[in-house]
Amino acid sequence: MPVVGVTARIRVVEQVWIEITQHAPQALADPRLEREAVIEMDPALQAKFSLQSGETAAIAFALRHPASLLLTDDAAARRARASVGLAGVGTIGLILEAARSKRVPVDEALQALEQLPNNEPLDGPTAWANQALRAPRRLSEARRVGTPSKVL
Amino acid sequence: MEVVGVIKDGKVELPASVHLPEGAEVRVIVSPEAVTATQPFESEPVAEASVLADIAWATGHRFDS
Repeated sequence: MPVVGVTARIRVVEQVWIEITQHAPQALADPRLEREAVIEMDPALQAKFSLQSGETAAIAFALRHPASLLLTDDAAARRARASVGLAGVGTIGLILEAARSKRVPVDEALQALEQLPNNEPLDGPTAWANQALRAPRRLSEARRVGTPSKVL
Repeated sequence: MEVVGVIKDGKVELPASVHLPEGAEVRVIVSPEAVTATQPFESEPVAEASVLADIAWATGHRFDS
């Protein structure tokens, strides 16, 4: 769970760094990643949301850097993040944003979405993601005339 | 003779003071704590609420499920 600052620095707290070394050490070769020192964690927050040390440390780090964007796909961490008022997003949001800002091709983004692990429940939302990427104008028009009902 | 070296760029690097004869057979014993076996991430199913929140963040639109 790296933390992205407003200057697009990708900062990874030590607890998360260690976790990644055990699962996907090759990911740490990305030169954009900055390794941060061990952060003192809030045990109350960790207990309240049943967080692991990495998530707890990342939230603690983000609280010290309020302009940061906390990146996590962990459901408990997302709830904890919201409870303390931190901005954040997950992998899906990053992929969508990258495609919409034309930093990656739309097809590549959709392929990345389909390859996400445990994405079985994504059928409906993925369709919306697809529409958001392929036909944002149509989506906007549908929104204006009030259809479909899924668009607020 | 026992010498302790470290792995650097995939090769055993010995202290500069150690000179082993060419062709010498060596046995490498790696300390267990130095071996990190990669394990798959424990990933949970993606919650629909998380997906919708991410879409909202990335697109500026909000969606119902």
